[in-house]
Amino acid sequence: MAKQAAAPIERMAGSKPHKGRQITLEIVTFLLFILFMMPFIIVIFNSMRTNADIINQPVGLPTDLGQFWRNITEIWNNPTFNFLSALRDSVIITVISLAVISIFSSMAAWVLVRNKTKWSNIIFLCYVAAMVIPFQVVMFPLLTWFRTVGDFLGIPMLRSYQGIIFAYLGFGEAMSIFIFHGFIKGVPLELEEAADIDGCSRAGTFFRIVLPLLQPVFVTVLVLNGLWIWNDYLLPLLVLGSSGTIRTIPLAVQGFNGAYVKQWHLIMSSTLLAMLPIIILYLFAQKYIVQGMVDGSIK
Amino acid sequence: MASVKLTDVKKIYDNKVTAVHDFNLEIKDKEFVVFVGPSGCGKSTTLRMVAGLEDISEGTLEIDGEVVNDLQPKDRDIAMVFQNYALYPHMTVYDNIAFSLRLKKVPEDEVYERVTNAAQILGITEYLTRKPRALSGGQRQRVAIGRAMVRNAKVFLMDEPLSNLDAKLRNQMRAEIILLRQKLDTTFIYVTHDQTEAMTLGDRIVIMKDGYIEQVGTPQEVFDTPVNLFVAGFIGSPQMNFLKAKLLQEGSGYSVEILGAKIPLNEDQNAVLKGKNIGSQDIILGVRPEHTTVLFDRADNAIECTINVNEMMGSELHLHLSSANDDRIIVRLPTVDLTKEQRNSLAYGSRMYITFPAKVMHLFDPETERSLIDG
Ligand SMILES: Nc1ncnc2c1ncn2[C@@H]1O[C@H](COP(=O)(O)OP(=O)(O)OP(=O)(O)O)[C@@H](O)[C@H]1O
Ligand SMILES: [Mg+2]
Repeated sequence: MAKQAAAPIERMAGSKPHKGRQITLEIVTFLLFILFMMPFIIVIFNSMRTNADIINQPVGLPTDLGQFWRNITEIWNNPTFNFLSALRDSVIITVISLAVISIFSSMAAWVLVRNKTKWSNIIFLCYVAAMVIPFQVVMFPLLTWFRTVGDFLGIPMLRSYQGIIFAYLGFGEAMSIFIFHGFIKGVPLELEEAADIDGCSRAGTFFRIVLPLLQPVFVTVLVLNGLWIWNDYLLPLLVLGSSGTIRTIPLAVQGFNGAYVKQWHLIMSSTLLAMLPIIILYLFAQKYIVQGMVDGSIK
Repeated sequence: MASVKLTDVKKIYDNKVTAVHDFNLEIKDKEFVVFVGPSGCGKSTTLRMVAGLEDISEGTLEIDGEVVNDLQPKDRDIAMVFQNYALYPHMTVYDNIAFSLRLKKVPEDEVYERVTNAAQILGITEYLTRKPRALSGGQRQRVAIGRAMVRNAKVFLMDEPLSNLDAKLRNQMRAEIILLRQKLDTTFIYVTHDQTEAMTLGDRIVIMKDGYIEQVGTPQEVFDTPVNLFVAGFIGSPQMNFLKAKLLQEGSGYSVEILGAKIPLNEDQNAVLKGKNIGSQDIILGVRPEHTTVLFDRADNAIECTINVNEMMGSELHLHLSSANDDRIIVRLPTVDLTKEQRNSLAYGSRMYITFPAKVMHLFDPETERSLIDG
């Protein structure tokens, strides 16, 4: 009896240095968190300060919260920034790109998984290989190519919605197909065979059976691509140009960053505005990412 | 409701595996046919060819006299129940069952009627609004059957539908399938590797091995007159005993000699052997455990054995014996008539004597493994 009682005490004594280590770890983790969050915090604070204030002291606490609304109003009324039109362009480009990427990649991945031929393997491996090519390697050839194709087809690829959406499809497809491919391999073939026998066409099987089962991974693909496309600066700069009629929010924000005058308070507040939709979307989708998993169909 | 006819059907997979060789079978309208055999013998492959899920490499498949080799599964008018149920996980039970009807654009009130009717028969009415993951194995199985049932298809295919269930539920569902079969009154092809299921469900049983049909017949036929060693061993539980013996031809009659015992064959058996012009030869003698009489004392023409294992099954004992020839023999001994002394004498190593009449004996050629009489 006494022996038994002694054991937990020993264990507690033994855990003392362990606990110390845990606290150190927690402190380090917290410091890292602050470090990583710093840019974000600076953006929030500085979007509530005046330009002069920021230039005087880049890192500092806001003194007058009302300044935030003044900054926002200034952005809103700024004719060159034109927040609403930039927002519209960003939404159009992001939403259509996401729709095109997710539908095409899920269909392509399905066909690649279900047609077990040598060619399916080769095509899939090409997609995987495409994932490791850095964007910077292809960005200038891409522009030349787009100009050629646009001239040839008579469909402008540069400075147009279709051009940038097509580019996003190309760059986003590889990873999305890779993700869908892995997931579809886990979808039991019997489900599709059952649908086949029940009288479903091939397309019907995809849209009624396979696609609903892809929901969790679909959300993942949407979030990953959505974050990237919404925040992307380089590709819109190349394809749409900095002075074109179509301007995404990152391009517009860059407008405050003039060669001679940098309006820091506006850069910061507009950056915050640009981030908001994607943060809201992410929080909303989080629930779905965690929630759904296929189960119940097969044992 | 339809007949199914397979003529010289063959399946060669991409990897050059021939899973099914020259399969010939005619299934009559409303017949319940069971494909049975050990794992990998090609049962599922054959069934899937009938369903249209696998291409037929050679031969023809007819449903109702029409060659359907090149028809898509959805155009063959068949229903199928899969081993792992294959319920659509994102749909409720109701939607699962209604799926095929809605694809056929059946009016929604008729869909409702047929789905609720099927659910009633299968006893799953209260689960109609649930998703499959919220059901037990047995309930899922019922939904899978319901999904196939509402179609009123020409042929009903089932691939090991009970093998994911525990023993008790399996027995219960087996009885329900028999009932269902009477209600549906359609053509069934049922795949199983369990000979009990095959015997209890089938009008006819197709016993397969390594892609070949070994025997086709009613449960009674394959039990009474197995054409070869494989069928004899596969059908019946516990398994038929196989003993090394000699067939002797003496004058106009034959007898079987085994370990000093000599059992004359009956007239019918004599006639068949004589007709086939068979002389004296070594044979494998097959006798079913339930056809063996166990004696506690030495008797004429009784074979002496030693007890290895004594399994108590409740109403009967299964005795595992070995003979002087080192043949392994299992016999069944009802427990009701046993006296206390007899029970006590059934210990390991004790001697027992077994006899059997000529009419229960199956004679197999050791070379060809075919039955000398029924083969
Ligand atoms: N897709 C395939 N590709 C190649 N070979 C296959 C394929 N499917 C089955 N086979 C082979 O064909 C043979 C028959 O398989 P099948 O699935 O018909 O057996 P089964 O009788 O249903 O067995 P089980 O009782 O285990 O289900 C096996 O040797 C198997 O390895
Ligand atoms: Mg099988």
